[in-house]
Amino acid sequence: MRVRVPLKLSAQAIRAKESHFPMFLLTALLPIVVFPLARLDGVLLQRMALPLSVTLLVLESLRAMPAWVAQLGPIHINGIYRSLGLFSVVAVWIPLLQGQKLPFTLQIILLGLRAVFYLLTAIRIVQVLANCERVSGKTLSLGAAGYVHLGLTAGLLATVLQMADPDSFNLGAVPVQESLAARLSYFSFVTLGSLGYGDVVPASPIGESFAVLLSLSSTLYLSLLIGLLLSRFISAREDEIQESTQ
Amino acid sequence: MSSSSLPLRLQKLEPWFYQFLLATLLPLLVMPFTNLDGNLIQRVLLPLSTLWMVLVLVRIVPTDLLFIGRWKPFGLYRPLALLCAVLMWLPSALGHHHAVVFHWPVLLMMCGFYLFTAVGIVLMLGKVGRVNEPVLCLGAAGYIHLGLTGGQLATALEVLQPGTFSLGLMLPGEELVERLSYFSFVTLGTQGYGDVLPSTAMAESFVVLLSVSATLYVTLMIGLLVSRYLQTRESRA
Repeated sequence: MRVRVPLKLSAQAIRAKESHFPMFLLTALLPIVVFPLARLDGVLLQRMALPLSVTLLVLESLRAMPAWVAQLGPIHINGIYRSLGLFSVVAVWIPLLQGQKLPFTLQIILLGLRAVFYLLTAIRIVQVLANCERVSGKTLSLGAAGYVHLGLTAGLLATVLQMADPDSFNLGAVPVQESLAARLSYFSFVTLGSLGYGDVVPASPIGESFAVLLSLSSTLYLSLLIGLLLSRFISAREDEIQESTQ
Repeated sequence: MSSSSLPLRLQKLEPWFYQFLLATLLPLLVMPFTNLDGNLIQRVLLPLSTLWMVLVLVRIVPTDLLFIGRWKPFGLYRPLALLCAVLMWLPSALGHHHAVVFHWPVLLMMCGFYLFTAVGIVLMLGKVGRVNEPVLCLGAAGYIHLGLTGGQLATALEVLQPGTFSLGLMLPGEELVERLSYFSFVTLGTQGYGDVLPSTAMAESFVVLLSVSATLYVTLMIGLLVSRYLQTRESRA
C-alpha cells in the first residue's frame, strides 16, 4: 500500500478555522467537568451528562479541525476521521437507551473506536500547530486542547485495558458510584501532569508500559509544543523587525 | 478611558507588580503562625496579609480588561474585592464556632473572587505592551495566585461536603485551608506526594483541572513571557 505524504497544511486553511479554537478547548474540558455528575442509574440529566458532553466535543472537533488531505491508498483519512466521529457520537448514546446490557466485547470495541478518534484529533492538532504561521491566543488554546486530548485518549485506552484484563491497574479506594472511565481518566491526568499520587497504580506489565508511554508522550508534547510555538513566535518577531528596518 | 490605551496604563502600573508578588507570597509565610483560637496576632495575621493582597489587586486590575458585547465583567471586580475584604474577617472575629450559614456564602464569594483574579492576571499578561522584570514578577505572582485559588476552592469543596479529600495525618493546630493550600501547591508543582488525596469524583475532576491549568500556565504563559522578555531586551540593546 502506498502512503501518500500529506500535503503541507496551508496557513490559510488554519487561519480560516482559528476562531473555533477557544470554544474547542472549552468543549474538550467538558467531559472532565461532567464526570462527577454522570451516573448511569440517576435521573435523566445525570444519564445524559456524559453522552451530551462527548457529542458536543466530537461535533466541535469536526468543525474546528481543517480537513485531512492525506490518503492511505484509495482511502481518504478525512472520511475515516469523520465517520469515526459520527460513529462515536451514536455509540455513546446506546448505553442510555439500552441500560448497561451491551455485550462486553462490543463495549470495549466502541470505547476503543472513540479512543482512536481522540488520538486522531490529537495528531491533527499537532499538525496544525506545526504549520501555523503566527502564534496568537487562539493558537495557544489549540495547544492546550491538544494536551487535554492526550489525557482523554489515555483515559479511554486505560479503561479498555482494564476491561480486557481487570488486573491491569490497581484502582485503590474508588469513590462510591464512580465509573471505571472516570477513575482511569483521573489516573491518566495525574500521570500526564507528572503528579504520580500513587493512589491508582499499574498492576500488570501492560499497565506499566502504558504508564511509561503516557508519561513520555506528555513530556515530549509539552517540550515540543513550547519549542515549536516559541520559535514560531520569535521568527515572526524577527520578520517584523527586518521589515521595519528596511 | 479607551481600551486602546490599556497597554500604556499597564505600563504605568509596573511598579506595583513587585508589590503584588510580595503580597501573594505573604499568606504562605504567615499560614503556619495562624490559629483561629489563638491570641489576637495569630487570628489577624492571615486576614491582614490577604487584605494587603486585595488592596494591591484593586489598584492594578483594570476594569476594561474584557468585553462581552458592551458589558465589562471586570466592572464587578472592585465591588466584589471590597466585599471580600470585609467578609474574610468573619472567621477571625467569630472564631471556630460561627454559624455555618455564614460560612458557605463567604467561601463561595471568596472563591469567585480568587477565580476572577486568576482570569484577570492571565488577561493582563496577554495585554502588556512590553515584557520586562516587573511583568515577569506579575507572571510569577500569577502562578502563586493559581495555587492560592486552588487552596480556596478545595477548602470550599471540603466544607460544603466533608470527606471530599482524604486529608491524611493533619498536623496539630493546622487549619483546613492551610492543609488544602499545601495540597494545592504540591499538585501545582507536580510533586504529588500523595499524603492528601481526592476521595470523591468531584475532587478528582478538581485535581485534573488544577493540574492541567498549572501545567499550561507554566509552559504557555511563562514560555511566551520569557521569549518576549528576551525580545524586549534585544530591542533595547
